[in-house]
Amino acid sequence: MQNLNSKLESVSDFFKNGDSALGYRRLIDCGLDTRNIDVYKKTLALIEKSENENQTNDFSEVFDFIHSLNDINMPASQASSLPLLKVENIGKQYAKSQFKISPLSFQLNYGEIIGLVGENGNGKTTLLKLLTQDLEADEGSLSFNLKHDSVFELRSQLVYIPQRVPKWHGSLLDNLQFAMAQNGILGNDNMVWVDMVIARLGLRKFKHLNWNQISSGYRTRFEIAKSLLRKPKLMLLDEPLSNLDIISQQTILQDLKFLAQSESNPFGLILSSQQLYEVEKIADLVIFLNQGEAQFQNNNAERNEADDLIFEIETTENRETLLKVFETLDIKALNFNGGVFIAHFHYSTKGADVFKNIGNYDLKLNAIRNISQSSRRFFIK
Amino acid sequence: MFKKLNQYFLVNHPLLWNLKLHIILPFGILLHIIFFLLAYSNYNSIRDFYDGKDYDFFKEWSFGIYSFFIIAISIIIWLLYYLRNNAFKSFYPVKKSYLVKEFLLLCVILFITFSNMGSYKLGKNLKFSQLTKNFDVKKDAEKIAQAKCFLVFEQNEFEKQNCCDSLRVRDSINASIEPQIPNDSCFSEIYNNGEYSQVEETTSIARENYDSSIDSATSYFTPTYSYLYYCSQSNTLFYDILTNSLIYSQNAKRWILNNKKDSIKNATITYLEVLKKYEGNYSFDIDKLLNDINADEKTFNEIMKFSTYDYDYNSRFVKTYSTNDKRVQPFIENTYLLEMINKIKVSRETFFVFDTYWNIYLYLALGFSAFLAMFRFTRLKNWLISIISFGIFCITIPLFDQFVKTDITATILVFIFIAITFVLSFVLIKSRKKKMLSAVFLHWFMFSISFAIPLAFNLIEKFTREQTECIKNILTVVKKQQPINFWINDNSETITYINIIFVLLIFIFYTIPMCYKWQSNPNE
Repeated sequence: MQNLNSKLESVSDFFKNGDSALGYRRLIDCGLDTRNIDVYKKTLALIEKSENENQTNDFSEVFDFIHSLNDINMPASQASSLPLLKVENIGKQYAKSQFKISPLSFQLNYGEIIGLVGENGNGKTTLLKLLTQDLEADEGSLSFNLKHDSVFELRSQLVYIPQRVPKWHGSLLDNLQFAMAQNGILGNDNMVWVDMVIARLGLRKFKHLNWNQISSGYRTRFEIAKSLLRKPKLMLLDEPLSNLDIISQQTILQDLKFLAQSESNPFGLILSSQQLYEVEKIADLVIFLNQGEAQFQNNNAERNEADDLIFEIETTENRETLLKVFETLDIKALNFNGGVFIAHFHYSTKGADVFKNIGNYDLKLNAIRNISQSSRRFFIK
Repeated sequence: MFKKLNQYFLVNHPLLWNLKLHIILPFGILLHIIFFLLAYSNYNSIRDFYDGKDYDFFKEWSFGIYSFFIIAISIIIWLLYYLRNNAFKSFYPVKKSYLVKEFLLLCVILFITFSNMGSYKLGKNLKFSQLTKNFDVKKDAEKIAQAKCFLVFEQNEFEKQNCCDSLRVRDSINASIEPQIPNDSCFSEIYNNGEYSQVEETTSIARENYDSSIDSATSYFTPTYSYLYYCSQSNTLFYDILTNSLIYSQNAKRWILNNKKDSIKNATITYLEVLKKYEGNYSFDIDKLLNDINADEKTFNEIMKFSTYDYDYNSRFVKTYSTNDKRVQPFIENTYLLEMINKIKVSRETFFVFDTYWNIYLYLALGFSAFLAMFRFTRLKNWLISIISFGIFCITIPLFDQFVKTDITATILVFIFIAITFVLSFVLIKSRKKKMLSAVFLHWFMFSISFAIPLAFNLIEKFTREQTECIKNILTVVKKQQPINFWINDNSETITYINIIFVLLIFIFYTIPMCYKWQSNPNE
């Protein structure tokens, strides 16, 4: 996890490079990290000013503020060096159907993200519900590194957002302030804190609207905002990207990664999604579920010798042409899968050689991706 | 102003905001004040308090109906807002005490909402007490008791065989019909054993025996009527007001024998003045009364033979109530007067002449709060299944009771049901198994436990009362009772309050912790 000073440096860079939208979002993250109401107020004032003065390139006040934050005392981190969640051989069999989650084990630390991918009906939601204790596992154990006197207390620290966001009543602001107040932040602090999270998730324009007046994408953002106000230790999101456009998907995922890696209040994040490549960008570990069987893709691990070099190639050319392109390389298999070709090369083959051959042949190419270390390869049938 | 208040509660007291306490409480209190003032301003004369008056009946009922609709609409609107947020089901970090607070506040809200008519009655009581504060009930009762000796309201008050001076005659009737032999051993046990108490009751069998004895006896006697035989049973109303109720009939007899027409006239006029003071009506000719008193016994007997139900319009019977039929003469609103005197007497003793039914509102509020809280703390599906199935159970219990022909069996069955639901709800919730079933058992336990205390007292009463009935005399039987029986019979209201407290404690110390645990249990 980055410390505040290095975060502030990157925020300065965003502003220097004119990326003020991202700059302000990251500035709010830094502000939230301080857990200081005065800082929150100043941050909000800056954001309000930026909204009133459209497209200004004068960020001197912002830089002054960033400079002042460098000297601020940071609160102690609430994270522990021990794993937040330890899952050991957890499994579940549904009595009325043949479907079962085969025993799987993994662990999650504070600030880490696990992506759950897989086709529909393969156990992603079931696994999330097992982790939130909404379902009981038939075997294995779950251990949480969280203080609690009762299961209810434990569950109140695990925030689960279902795929279909439950309808809320009243304005978005009222709901967020209620959530915050229930979490023990009262009075003026409550309002400031809520405003910060609203600003962080880009909901300022919508805060007085109700359920029927905002799109499903913003409802998801609202749900995330509400969850963040609860200061979760573990956040579990079931298909949070399903209602979002491609830009929003990337933004939300990036925001979640930043927020999860908060210096003072980090949390673990497990999310299920069909947006494989988007999830892979932020996840530390991807779990692919196929008929309840788990396969793991650790994005931080090196590729080992047993693994092929695998490319996903989208082209209008046929199989013969592709075989001809790669005939000088040690190609093990070429499959047509899901509208694209999947080419398996021997471990020793270099990626650069693949691109060189494509260039030499002048292959008509729409897209190409190295999926050797992507869970995409698990989807190949 | 309201927005600021709403915002204040939202960010400082989320539970109160969720309950809309800042809206429903002032609204409820305002309604109480309105109902109190309406009652206070609507009763402007003592006559407005007469139960037999159509005006009061419809006025109170119309307020009752308004109150019902106001309660229904208020509750529906309030529920729409209250049910919007549920911190507990959303797994917000709440403690068990939060649920207890929520439940108690529900009780307060519902009590205030339900009890509008209580304030109405309070206003009515206050106005009644204020309007009657200068009335000297004792003096008025004395005047009424004296004049009543000359007013023929009831035929049997002037009947020779039924009057106070004719007890000897009545004894001879009793002696002539051979009453059933009293159980001597039973009597000695009752009177000698300090452990036992007794209660006298007129049973239907004893009543029948008495009636048949009177029928046979009266065939030998021709009823004779005279003012001299006056003995009013209705003076019992004034027993605790009048120091010596016999003195009035003795006075009356002396005046009649000594032909003290002026005294009789004055007593009657005084009575009518009292009636007027109490805003009662009459249509009565005092001179005619004096003539009747002087009529010979034969004429008077002829007058008296008319049945009160089969009168002709020239009857000299005095009706005790006013009527729109102008042909009916005479009348004096004596019933009204006695009712008012009695009300003033009660008002001086307890203030609450008109029952405010606070305990019923409390019961209702507690019951609805428990229902609502169970819905809030569990799930709609479980809640509905529990209510429907419990309803079916409640229907089958009396059927079973009819089948086995004993009400004790049904009571014991309910206790067994309570014990089973308690054990099953406890075991299943603690073991984190069968989430739906455990909720149903918890609901059933909660619904049935509210009957436990009344049923327990009922059972004690049945087991401790000896079933033998000893006949003391022709009119009364003696049922032996333990002191606990007396306590139970005399303290039904206390038992109601004990039950309310018991249910409240069970809900706070068992149901809520169980709901708290249940919520975090895994689904099936």
